[in-house]
Amino acid sequence: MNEPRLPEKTAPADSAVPWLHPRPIAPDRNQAYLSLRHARKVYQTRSGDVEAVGLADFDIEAGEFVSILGPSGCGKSTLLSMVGGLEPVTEGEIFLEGTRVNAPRRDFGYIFQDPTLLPWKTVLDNVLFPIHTQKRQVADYEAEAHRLLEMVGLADFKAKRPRELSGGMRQRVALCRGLINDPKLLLMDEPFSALDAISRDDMNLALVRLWDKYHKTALFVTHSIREAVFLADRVLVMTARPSRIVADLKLPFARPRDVTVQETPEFNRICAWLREQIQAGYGRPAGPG
Amino acid sequence: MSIVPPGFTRPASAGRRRVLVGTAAAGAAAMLSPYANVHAQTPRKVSISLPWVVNGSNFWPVIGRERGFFKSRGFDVDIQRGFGSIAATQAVANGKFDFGFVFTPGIVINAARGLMVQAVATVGYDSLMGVAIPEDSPIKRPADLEGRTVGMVLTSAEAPFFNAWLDRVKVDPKKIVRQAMDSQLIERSLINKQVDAITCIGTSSLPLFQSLGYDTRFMSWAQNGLDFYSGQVITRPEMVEKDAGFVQAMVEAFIESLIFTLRNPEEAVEIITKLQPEIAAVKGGRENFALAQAIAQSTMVAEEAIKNGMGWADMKKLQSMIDLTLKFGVTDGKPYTVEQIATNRFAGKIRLSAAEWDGVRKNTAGVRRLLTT
Amino acid sequence: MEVAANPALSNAALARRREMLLTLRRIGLPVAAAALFLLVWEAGTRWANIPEVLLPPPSAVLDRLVRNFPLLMTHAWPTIWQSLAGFAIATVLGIVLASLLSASTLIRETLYPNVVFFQLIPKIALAPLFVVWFGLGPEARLSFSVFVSFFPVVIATLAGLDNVERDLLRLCRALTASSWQTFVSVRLPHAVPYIFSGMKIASTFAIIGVIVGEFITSRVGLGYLILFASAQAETALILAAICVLCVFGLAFYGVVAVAEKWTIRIFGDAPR
Repeated sequence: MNEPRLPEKTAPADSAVPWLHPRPIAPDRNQAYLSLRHARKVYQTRSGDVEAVGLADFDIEAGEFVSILGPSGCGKSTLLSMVGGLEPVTEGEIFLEGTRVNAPRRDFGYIFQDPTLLPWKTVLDNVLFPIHTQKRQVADYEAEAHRLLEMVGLADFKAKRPRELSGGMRQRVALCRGLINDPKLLLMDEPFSALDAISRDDMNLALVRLWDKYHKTALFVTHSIREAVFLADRVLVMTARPSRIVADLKLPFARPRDVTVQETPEFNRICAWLREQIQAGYGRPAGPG
Repeated sequence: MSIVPPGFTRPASAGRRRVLVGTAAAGAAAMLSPYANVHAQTPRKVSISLPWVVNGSNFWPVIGRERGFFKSRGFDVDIQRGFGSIAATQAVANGKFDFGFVFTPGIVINAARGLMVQAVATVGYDSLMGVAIPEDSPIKRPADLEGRTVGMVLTSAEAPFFNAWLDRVKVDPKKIVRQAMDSQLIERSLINKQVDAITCIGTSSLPLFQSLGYDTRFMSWAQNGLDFYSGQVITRPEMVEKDAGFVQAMVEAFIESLIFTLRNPEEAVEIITKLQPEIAAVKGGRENFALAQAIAQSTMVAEEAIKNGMGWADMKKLQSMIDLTLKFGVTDGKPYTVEQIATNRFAGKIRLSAAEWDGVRKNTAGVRRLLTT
Repeated sequence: MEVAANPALSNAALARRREMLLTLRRIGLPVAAAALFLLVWEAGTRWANIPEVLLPPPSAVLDRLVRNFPLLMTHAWPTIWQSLAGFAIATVLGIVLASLLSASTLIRETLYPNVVFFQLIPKIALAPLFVVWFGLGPEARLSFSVFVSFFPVVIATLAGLDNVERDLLRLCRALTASSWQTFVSVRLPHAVPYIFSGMKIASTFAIIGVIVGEFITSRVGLGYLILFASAQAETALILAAICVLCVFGLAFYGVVAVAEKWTIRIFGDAPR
């Protein structure tokens, strides 16, 4: 079994920096908030089995924001779907607070690449859509919806319809919708990759601001290194062919977090190192590792 | 293209004698026709419209074409189906066809709208308009129709004259429910008792009832003085004026075709079923066809033709048909004279012998039964 | 030029004026073309002295329209209500059938090829059979009208129900929505503009169905009147009846088209 560990030789020169040390898996994994144990996904196709997610074996603490970083086709979205219960695992198990996850759960939040808003509903109703669908008491959540929309700067747009909003604004609505049911786990599948660069920076900042006040356990899938580092407390790096988690990195940046963190040498060095990991992944020979 | 030799007249006696001696071979006809001699090298294309799809009452021009009666006179005829006598008359008036074989109501109704064609030969002397009722129907007299539903094909030739008949038989038209029916369904609607009676042209509906084994009675409107002519050969008025030789030759070809079917009704059906196998393909189709021919031929035995020769029309009778049409058949029709729609100029040149008329009577004796109440 | 001459004219005013001119053009051009066509028709029939029974000039048709207006309306009413009823039934039937087809793979695999096959039948040819099955009353025409017009609704609705973004369906799954909930709150609303585009086609088909039905059998109706007029060689009356039919058809289609536009605005993108 491949252990997702940092290879020592690729560590940056000043390996004294604490965040670069491999994070050990706790001996009693049942204590972990979210735990993936040797989760694997294999699709059967006409030309044989295709391994979509080779191996995922890691734990996540409560309140941790984890980015899953990797090139397209590495299986990171499939991994997210498995955690969310939308895709069954072929092998292995996933636990949340000791309970096995094998179906979608009411207490998860989801954000996709597209805002997937309902065009015929107002912004407010879109945010409340999960509440309606899950037959919860709408009245209990209305105040929360208003609070969330104000937090992402959409206070004046509650009665508008999605088509009157920009792409970035729509994704903010989707963000609020993902958070409305106070999820135990927020799953974000490349939520900003369809936006232009400026809106994307904007959204990153908005998300960071949200996390300054609003701690949630989150899995964030992206192929942008800077985004992954800027947003997360921890980064998992995935490679394609074979699909593996090759690095697991605790980030040293405190919250509340500021844009200026992106200018620090530390930030850039981490990004450079992550880029190396991804590129090294491309160079690997195909086949089981 | 009118190349008529100066002083040309058709030697009527020759034609008459020819028919009388019964040597109506195509070759002989060709030799006898000066018109054909002129055009022997380049057959003249002539288009003809029938009133409807080929059926037992209208197919005889096709037999004429097959037997070469048109070809021998230098005509290459193209015979097409029509979409009702009204539309067929309009198509001829509009120059889409050179000639038409249509039913008289189509001519008189269009003329009431100012659209004139010339009937150059009359071949049927009773349109057989009437009301068909089931054999076992409680309707015995016209008055019994009150309060009943009468099915009718609105575009059929008899439909516009239903009111004229009701007037003659003193029935209030308001007391009758009219159900418009498609021509495909009219007979079936009577059999299925969806309607109590139908108006129809005897040649179309009665053979169908017979072939389906369904017995009917028939209230002929002719008995009440509504005697319309049926089939007439028409062309445009200017053709009559400017190309009389051509019209004369065509009329003779038409008449010769008709006479062939009168003499050889079975052979005519034989020819048409070979040409159009679908006729015999339906159950009772061939019998239906032969019966329709017999009914149509029974209307050809008339004083007009016997006394004055084939194709001849009684202008007085035609005038009364016009009067009837203007009074009952159409709303706001424009009056016109009989000369505007018909001429005997080309008719009466060929005659059948008394023996031949007897032959026709004998052939069609069986159908009389169908045409009574 | 205009800006220089009139500096008070703001850009907004200019834009509004351009908009107005464009609208005028959009309406004006086709109207002018139609008017020109009628004019040529009128002049042509007069100049060539075409008999009215073959082709009446527009003025003669208008004259018939005015003089026989009550008669035309007597016959228009049954045609109109039967078309509307046929259309309404076809719409409901189409939506229900499409919903069934989209609800279950089994149903779709069983029925969809049959529905398509059904569509390939030359339906007009079957019209006489409807009289045999449903009799001579309005039921025959209504059912025939439904028969010819429901299919476009089925196809359009099915497209609308199927074309929902995959992520939206994933979201519903992630939210643990039942398939009925997903249908009611996502699929069906998403299909609304598609349904209306199908209804647009159905509106014209429904009228054709009723008219063909009236051609087959009727006691009253515009189809009856057209046959009656053609039996009398009343070409102007035929065209006047067709005129009434066109006005109704246009208004009917127009209402559905406007409703479609509105639903596109509310329920999202137009089906392309």
